[in-house]
Amino acid sequence: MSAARKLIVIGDGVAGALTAAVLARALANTGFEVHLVGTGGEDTSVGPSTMVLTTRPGMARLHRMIGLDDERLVQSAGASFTLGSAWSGWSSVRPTYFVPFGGAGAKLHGVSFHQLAARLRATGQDLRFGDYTAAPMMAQSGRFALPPADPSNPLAELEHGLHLPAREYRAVLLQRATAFGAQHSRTTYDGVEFAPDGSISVVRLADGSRHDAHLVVDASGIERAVVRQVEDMEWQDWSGLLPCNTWVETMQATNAAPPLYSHVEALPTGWRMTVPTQGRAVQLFASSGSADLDPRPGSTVMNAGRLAEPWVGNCVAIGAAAATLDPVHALPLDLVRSALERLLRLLPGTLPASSEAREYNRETIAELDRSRDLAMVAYRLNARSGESFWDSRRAGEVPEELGHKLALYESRGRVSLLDGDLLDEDEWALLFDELGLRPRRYDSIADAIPVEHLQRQFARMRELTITAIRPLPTHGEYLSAIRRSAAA
Amino acid sequence: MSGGVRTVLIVGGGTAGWMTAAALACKLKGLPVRIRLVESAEIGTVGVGEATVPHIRFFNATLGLDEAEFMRATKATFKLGIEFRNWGRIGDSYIHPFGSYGTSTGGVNFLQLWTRYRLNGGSLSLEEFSLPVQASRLGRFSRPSEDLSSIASTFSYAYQFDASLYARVLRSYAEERGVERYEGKIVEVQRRSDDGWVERVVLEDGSALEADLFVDCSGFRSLLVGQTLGAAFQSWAHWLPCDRAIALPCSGTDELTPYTRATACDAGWIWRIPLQHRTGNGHVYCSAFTDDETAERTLVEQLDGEPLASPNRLRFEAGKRDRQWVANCVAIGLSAGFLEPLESTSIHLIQLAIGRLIEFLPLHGWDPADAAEYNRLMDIEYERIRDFLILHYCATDRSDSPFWDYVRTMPLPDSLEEKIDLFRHRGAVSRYRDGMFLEPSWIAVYVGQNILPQGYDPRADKLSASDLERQIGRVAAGCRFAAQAMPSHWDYLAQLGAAA
Repeated sequence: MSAARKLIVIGDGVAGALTAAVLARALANTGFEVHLVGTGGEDTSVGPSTMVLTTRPGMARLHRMIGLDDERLVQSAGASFTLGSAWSGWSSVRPTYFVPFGGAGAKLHGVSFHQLAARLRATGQDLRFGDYTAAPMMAQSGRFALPPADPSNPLAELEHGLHLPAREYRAVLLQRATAFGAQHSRTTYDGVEFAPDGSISVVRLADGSRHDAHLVVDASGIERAVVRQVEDMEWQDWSGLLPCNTWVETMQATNAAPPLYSHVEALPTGWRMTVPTQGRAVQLFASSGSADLDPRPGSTVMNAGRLAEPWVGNCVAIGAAAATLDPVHALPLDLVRSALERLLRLLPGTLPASSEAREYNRETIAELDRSRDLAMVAYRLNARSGESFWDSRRAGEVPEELGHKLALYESRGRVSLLDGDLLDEDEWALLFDELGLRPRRYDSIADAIPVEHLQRQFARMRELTITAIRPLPTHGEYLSAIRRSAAA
Repeated sequence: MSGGVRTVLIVGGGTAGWMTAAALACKLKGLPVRIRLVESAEIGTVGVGEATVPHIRFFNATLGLDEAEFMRATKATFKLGIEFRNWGRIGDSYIHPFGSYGTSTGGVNFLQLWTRYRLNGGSLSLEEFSLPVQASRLGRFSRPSEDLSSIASTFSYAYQFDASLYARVLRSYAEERGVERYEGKIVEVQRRSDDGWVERVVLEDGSALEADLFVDCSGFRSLLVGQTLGAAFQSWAHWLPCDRAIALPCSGTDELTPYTRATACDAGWIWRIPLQHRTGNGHVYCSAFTDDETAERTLVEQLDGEPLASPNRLRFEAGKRDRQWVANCVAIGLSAGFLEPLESTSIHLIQLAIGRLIEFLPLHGWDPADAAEYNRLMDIEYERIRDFLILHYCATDRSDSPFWDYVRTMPLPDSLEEKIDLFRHRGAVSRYRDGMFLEPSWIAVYVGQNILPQGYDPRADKLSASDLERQIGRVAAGCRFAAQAMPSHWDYLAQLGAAA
């Protein structure tokens, strides 16, 4: 075989370390070398959250591939479990609400929970989705255990993510990457040189070494260290759609057991998200800074937006280098996960890779744009009145796809699922419902189930869930048990 | 928003009409909706949709039809896929099976392993790694195993049946559940003066049938959605130029193939669908490149049994209505659009439309959002199938007739051009949320019509050459043995009690 083809990952923050670990694992013994090179700056590789990151449920698959699981991350990276997020202050009329990973309730006779709930509401019954959904009930109780294998257990399909301290998580990922054969450079990135066809031919490092590149991944975060050298890399700005661009993070140590959720609180000109994990909690303040004011000391400025094309020539941008989005739905790290799974499927053995790039960009752009729509929803449906920041969020244009989604849900409680949507119908419905969107009509098929039967089933569902949660350990006890099992 | 639907009138009683009636009767049980159907014995049904795709089993299961009983009543046979003859080149034959090829390892699709094997001189064709293809070639059948670790679970199946008998089964099903049937020819459609919605249809005898919602199953005429409400027809004839068909059943053969056959001809293709009591045949062709007499002669020459009827001639145009749901009328079946039956999609499109109609049925009041989303979803399905059908024509080396010269060189939809390019480059299949044909189907047709990947997923290089050889050999042997262990198609039908 000819000389090894080099995959060079620029940026050794969380996104880069994860990329290197995944690529090195997948491509071991296939004639590729994976190189990981830092840029020396702060780790903004995933986005505005830099201290504690949140994974969505799909991450477990990618973690498994590189030999990581929840227990291991609790033990070695200080992770804690999360079931979703609690939201307060987003409405002056509605109380705090909870957005779990996964949808609400359960289907009955093939009819979705939210349609059944709408039928019960039409009879005058007041109900909240959260009262019939395991995740918020567990989050409230503070009790947790990984889902049981028995499919008849009401907690069997519980979805969870992790709150991961970024520094420790990065260290674990770097260890995995090098264990799989990736080379983590001691020096930093200097620049790239281009071939006549516009592709990157050489990556230069600060120690003067030069590396022939097969593929370059820019995971350097908002620095976009490689991407900004590539011609034709256009940026699509979403400032008009997602207003927050100024981010401040603080960390507090705490001895209390971490809650099973993050908390997002709306403030008069932005919001604050508290993300707890073992021994600490991080607060992220988001606001909309104006260009003529100096940003607050210690803040990072990051406008929402994405690259017009995340993959150009042989350069693929991943993480915040490709797109920046509000982290409230734990989207940024999940977008890295999804991008890596796609990159694996389309990784080119030979160059040029224009066919792969075109497919990658089509799928990725759809996913980024639909994720942007998702991030917009809470702003769009906020119910704080008399504050110009929030009032203006309810007005103004929405992207056509989001407009259609909202209109269809309002009309009859159905969700128009499009290419790139990361949530399924139940998850969207729950989010819309918690944000106060009530459909004018519901699925007629729900009428075929007698109301009394529905009421009994709902009550039973709630009862079974409570019974299943009651004997579980508290989150703190559960984390301690996992840590002890490592020590033993 | 006005009051919701309380009465539904299905206009037309062919396959589409009675499938709709049966499904509505089943799903709306217990709801205050009156379902009626009007059909005329004078108007024939097209019923070319004799071959199906596996989704039909879900439809039947929802209704609660017993499989053996349904198969006896419709003289049905099992179907594992479609054999395509002479498509990529004259003399070629491949089967598009209902199942995947091989098994993926470590997240790498089997096609990638096979591509590496082939590029290194391996000679086994992709068909060797498909159990349904192997079983088809041997004329054998058995239902898939429920043991997911077994190779015998790696496929699915559909039916080939007599569509008019199927409509009869569904008619008694629907009538037993309260669907009211009216006999008569519609002579007039009356619309409300204020908004133009359809109010009633008037029959020849002067009686009228009113409804809140009309399902237009009137076939090519598209009486309500097309003719009355003016939904424009979007023609795809430049991509799918076949516009005529001749159907001609003949007596069956001793051997019952568990698959449909589509044989490419000079200016179109011939279908062959084996049923228990006869074989359905038909020639789909393009009138710009051949004439009706030649087309009929071509068909008759290919029959492998005695003709059982006089030829039935059809005219059509590939395409669909730009809106399939307009005002209070929903077009289902040929009234909504036509795609030639090359991949047995006609009945599937009916089934999909029915499912979506039930999802968006405005029982709780009307809102334009229903039609908008219904039309968006149906447009995607038609367009994705369209691209898949075009692939069969454009992926060819045939240059033996003006017809093949045309389809080989015609400009393609951009969406398809990019899909082909990606597959040729590295054997990857574009991913979309919606659309009925999944990755294995695209692979079957690409490879079957000689679009072979020039590169592959680098992860396929992980195995050593000898391990690759061993794995390839093991999968092929597994498929061969499992196919040989199956009973013959006839024996299985008899054993199931499905033989009429």
